[in-house]
Amino acid sequence: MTRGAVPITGLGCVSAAGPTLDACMASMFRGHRAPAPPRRFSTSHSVRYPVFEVPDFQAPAAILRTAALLLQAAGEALADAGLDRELLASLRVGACIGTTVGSAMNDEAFCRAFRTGADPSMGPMDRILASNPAAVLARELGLTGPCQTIVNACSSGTDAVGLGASWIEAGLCDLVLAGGADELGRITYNGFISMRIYAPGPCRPFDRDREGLNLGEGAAVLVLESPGLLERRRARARAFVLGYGSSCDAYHPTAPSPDGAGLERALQEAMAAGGIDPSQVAFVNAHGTSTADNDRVEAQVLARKLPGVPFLSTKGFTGHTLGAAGAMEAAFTVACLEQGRIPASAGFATQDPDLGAAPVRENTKTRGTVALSQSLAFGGNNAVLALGLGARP
Amino acid sequence: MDLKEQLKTLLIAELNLEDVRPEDIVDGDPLFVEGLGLDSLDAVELVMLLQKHFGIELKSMDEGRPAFASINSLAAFIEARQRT
Amino acid sequence: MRIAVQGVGVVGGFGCGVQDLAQALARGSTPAGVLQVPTGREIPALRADPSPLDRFVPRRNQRRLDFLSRMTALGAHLALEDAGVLAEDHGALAVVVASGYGATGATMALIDSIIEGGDACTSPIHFAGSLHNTPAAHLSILLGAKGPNLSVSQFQLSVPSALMAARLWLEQGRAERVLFGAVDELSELIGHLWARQGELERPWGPGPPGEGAAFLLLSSREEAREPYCILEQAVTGQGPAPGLAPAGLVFLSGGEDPAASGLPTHRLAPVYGHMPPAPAFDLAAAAILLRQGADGPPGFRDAQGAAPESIACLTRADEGFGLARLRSCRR
Repeated sequence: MTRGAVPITGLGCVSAAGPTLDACMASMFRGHRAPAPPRRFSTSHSVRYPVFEVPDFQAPAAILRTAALLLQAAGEALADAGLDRELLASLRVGACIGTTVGSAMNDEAFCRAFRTGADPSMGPMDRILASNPAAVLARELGLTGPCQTIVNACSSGTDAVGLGASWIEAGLCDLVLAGGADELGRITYNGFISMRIYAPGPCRPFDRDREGLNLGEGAAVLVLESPGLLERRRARARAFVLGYGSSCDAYHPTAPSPDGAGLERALQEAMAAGGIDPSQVAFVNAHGTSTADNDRVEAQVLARKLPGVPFLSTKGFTGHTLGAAGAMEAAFTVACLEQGRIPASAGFATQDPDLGAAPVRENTKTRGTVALSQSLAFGGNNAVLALGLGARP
Repeated sequence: MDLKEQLKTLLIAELNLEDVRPEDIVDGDPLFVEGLGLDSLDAVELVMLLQKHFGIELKSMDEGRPAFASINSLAAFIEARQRT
Repeated sequence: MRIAVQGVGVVGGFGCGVQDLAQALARGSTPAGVLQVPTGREIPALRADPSPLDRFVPRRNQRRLDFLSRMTALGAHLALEDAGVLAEDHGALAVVVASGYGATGATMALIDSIIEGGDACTSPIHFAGSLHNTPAAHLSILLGAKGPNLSVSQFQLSVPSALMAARLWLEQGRAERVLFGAVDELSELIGHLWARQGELERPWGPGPPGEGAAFLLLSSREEAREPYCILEQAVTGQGPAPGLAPAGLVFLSGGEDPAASGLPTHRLAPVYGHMPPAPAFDLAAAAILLRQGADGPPGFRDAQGAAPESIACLTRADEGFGLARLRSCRR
């Protein structure tokens, strides 16, 4: 079991809620959210299922939008940590990034042309081949350390932060840029709609009348730093990764295990790694996708394991950003700990009697220096991060 | 081929029920959980197949639940929808 | 802590299982089959046949497994069987799967469903099948493996990255056994890209391409059976690989690397084909040869002409490298 707190010295985030982490936090505490039908693509569905697009963002032609979003978040995180390219070049810096769309060979125009016997130019494939998220960071920032792109579906971002932290603990790297990125796309949008878990209106995590998720896009990066480097630079840690837990349900390719046993084990592991008692947890940033199954399992587990601990889903503000979600939510969790408060869980109005727990309805002051952020994925992965303002709970 | 036979052939092909032949599927037997043992992912695929092959649009999974009980109920559901 | 290779499971153009791979290594190459690409052309390719999976998993339980997942499941079961632990409880087993391109067959089937029937006829089954972590998810369900589960995808460097993670889990005590493997399929789309690689900014190599799955059971426990070998190191990064000790052999996948120069070096692509899982096949081959020792094929001898005591598996792609070092446990 890994022990020891890993410093987080920089944060960066871009989502529908804002182009920077501060902007995201400000708009969440204002209760602002803007789900809308997709603007960058169209479909023939009779319902205009809403998405959370990042506005005013244009990717360069040579790389996928996912990679471009990631670079923006990474730039913000590095600036936040006070790290410039010159310093990076002298250090062993790794990149550990989660994604789903960002790794898929699914350029629709290319595949359609290919299928109809037309001879599409290789441009779109070149772009995909040049856009593996962790590799893009390494290339653009001149990083020399290990490089890993995690494709664990919806828990990828949480896994990236947890696994990136383990690289610091193992002494493999001075720094790790850990995070996640994903872009909205027509195929993924159609895919989730076909699963019948896509809400026709704005999503309502944990609400009695929730009808499914809304997709979003964006990226978040956390700069994880070795304590040795932190001291040499006399930098300050914004927070620490205190623990990481992960498990697999081994139940079904798309449905979570109804008994929540896998999530419980992951929670247990994260808290044990950080030496954290449930009474010390200030709040939980839940996965809260707003689907019938996910929210039921999660809320029931939280009611059992962390009764009375306030929780929220930020997906009411950002949509479900897939590979980016866990990293984004880790960044939000740190910011909330710093502010000593969490925003109202957007989209929630009516408690679901089946769930045994409800998220916060209003912006809520929290007590404590430790919080949890959790993700559940298609395929049955459960991942939990324990984050704290201090090196100890 | 009558509708029930068509449905059996469709389910076997589209849900990849490799070791099942149409004559193995009993019209009144459960399709989900027991009987044929289909699951939630099969259910949403079936919703899509109803749209694709019969032009039937289901507004919600609840609407489909009684229809999906067996081949008999599925056939009856399709016939009723196509009459309207 | 000692991290050992306890079991090897492989399927590819050379056949299926350790014996087939050992024979192919002794021969030095595998005759290529063909891959039909949609432009009407054929390209030589090393094709895999996952039908031996029927021995482990009833057909009925394979219905959700596409070709990629079937190769994955076969490689995994073979590795566990080879280690003599197939019948054990795998509740704590951790799983790491590397795939260069992921489920491109299922992705194309998903897009086909949209082309054929419109957006409303998107197939949820193909959507679920197209997710990168679907093969690993199927493994966890088939084996009841509830430990940490990781899927990694980064083209030619997928294996080194995933192996580093697997090794770290064992070193840090997150698991005591990790089922580690790599898999890629020669789907229509990938075949098309191989055939047209001259038009890609970065061509893929001389070929022929291969498909298949290579799995290792890694363990930090005291196990009942003697291991194949010890996994001493698994690192990855950008730039050239760290220097290698003069003893032993090097198995090289991808481009040249200064670290390999001057050492007995073998490229095993003729045995299993060019593909992102190749470094995992190199590991499997290295494990087999280290266990065979002097009984192994004469083509694999160190600079002194002796059976190798250590083998370095070096991967070079884009600007990155992967280096795994395996050591014999014969003493």
